[in-house]
Amino acid sequence: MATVSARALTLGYQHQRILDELDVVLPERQISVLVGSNGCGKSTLLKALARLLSPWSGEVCLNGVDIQTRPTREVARLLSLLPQHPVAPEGMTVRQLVSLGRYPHQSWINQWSREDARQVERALTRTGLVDMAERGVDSLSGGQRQRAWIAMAVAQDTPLMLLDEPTSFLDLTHQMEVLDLLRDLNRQEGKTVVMVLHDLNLACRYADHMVAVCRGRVHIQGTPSEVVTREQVKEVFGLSCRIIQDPFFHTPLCIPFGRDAPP
Amino acid sequence: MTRLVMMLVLLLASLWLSLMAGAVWYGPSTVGHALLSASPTDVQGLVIRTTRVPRTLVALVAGACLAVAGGVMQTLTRNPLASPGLLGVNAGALFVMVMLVSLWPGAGVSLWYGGAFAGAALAALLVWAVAMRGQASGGPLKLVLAGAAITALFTSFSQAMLVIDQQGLDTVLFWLAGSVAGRPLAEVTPLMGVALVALFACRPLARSMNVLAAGEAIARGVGVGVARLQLLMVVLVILLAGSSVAMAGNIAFVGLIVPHIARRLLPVDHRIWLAGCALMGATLLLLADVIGRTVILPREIPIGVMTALIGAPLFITLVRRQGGGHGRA
Repeated sequence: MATVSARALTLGYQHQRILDELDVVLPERQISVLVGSNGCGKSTLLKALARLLSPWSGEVCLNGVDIQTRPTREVARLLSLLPQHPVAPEGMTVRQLVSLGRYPHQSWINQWSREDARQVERALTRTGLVDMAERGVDSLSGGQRQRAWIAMAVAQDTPLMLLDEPTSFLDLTHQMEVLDLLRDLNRQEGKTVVMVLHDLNLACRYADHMVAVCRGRVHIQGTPSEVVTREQVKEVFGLSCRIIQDPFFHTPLCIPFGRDAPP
Repeated sequence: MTRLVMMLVLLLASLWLSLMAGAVWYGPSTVGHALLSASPTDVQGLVIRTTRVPRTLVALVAGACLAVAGGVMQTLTRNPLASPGLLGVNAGALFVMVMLVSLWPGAGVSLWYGGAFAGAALAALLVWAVAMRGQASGGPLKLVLAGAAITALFTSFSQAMLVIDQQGLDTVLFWLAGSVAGRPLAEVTPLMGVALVALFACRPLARSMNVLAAGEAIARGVGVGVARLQLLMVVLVILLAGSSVAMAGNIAFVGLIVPHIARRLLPVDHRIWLAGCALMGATLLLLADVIGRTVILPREIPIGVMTALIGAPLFITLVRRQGGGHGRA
């Protein structure tokens, strides 16, 4: 089990403050999606949750302990991270890439165990990459490549997975494929998933818990129907829209107006 | 793995060839005899033991050092053009050493060698400081530009020493052109010790380097102590480049070319790849030295010139085939 939370978290780059005394608790065994406009701090928040950035003040807690004080390898056994646009080394095969996920479970004495091999195999099966395991990562399509990176995180075998825009640059079919895969991991293995998504409607479909970040703070959080309302979309994204109910899945569906006047 | 064994076989063959070749060619039995029994009346044996064995060992270790330093730098910077030659580390080592030789000729070799390490560290620090400042800090282009500038700076300083110091001309020229000849074994033994320690120290870091090659965020995500790893890698590069420059002077292209060829031939696993770099770097330098000392008898072509002659066409071929370098660039 692993829960991650932020308390009075303030941080930024150089002199620019990005997060401003932000508080959030991400529910365990649920899919949480961070949404917000460009530059609102949602990616920064995800990086801070993954201990990639150290706070100016406040703290990120993993199971109640300040994440910056825990050994990084120990954290890596509880929490995996898929950053934005990762690039695999040239010539690396899918299997090699997935095997990198086993790093925190290995040690000087115990370099490659049977458990490592088993977990890599399981991750490949889970992500449907068994047939492509020996292929070079550079030869895969965008969707397959993203699955390979997710497989690496799966092989890391952590109860908590953080993903920064896992669907960017994918076409709609492959966006759905990646999100379905993440939902399966959540529903079948009880993994806590926290991710940043840009597409509000897909976020509504897949999120159990939604966190709207605005100007370095949590503007509102809750279920998609609590978060995605006409007023709040206006406040968070500065966008005029109407919200209707998805006729098939009954989640909120946002119809943006842009410059067009509402009919 | 079979390819690694083939590389080892090739290295051993070049090693043997290097002991045989020269102004006078010795047969395998003469070489074997010279190595096994140290008879003072045996002139051939004396030549082999006092001139060919030292230069062979220097070429072997310096080649391995340069290639591995290049490989480590390419992973460290995620830049396919990174090498101790292009990023100024060799030039820095060379300059400080040449300066000490010119200004303080009586100081003795251990101080000069210390200067090589200090110079390598100084150049690494300067390149890093320049590349990390301002916009697009640490970007691949910026790093190479900073390296080129630092290389040019230190190289011209070194050449200025030639003008200042007419007496030490020979020593300075020796290092500037790059040569593995005429180094007494006793003088280079400590350098070889440092080099070997640094070479073998790469092995325990190889698994972490595998992850770092996939990017800093990925490496930190799986629990690599990235800052510590990068620092260790920089120290290794300084030790490897510094000892190779102190042993053999300015040798171009080995650190750049060999990692690329090894990447084509071996799987992308630093445990295997860096071992391949070491084997191929040593082989390349041994062969370059054999050619350099046999083609224009009774004179010799300095090994630094030979590696450039071999390396430049190889590099052009690589660039052309890849259409501009590397997937990661």
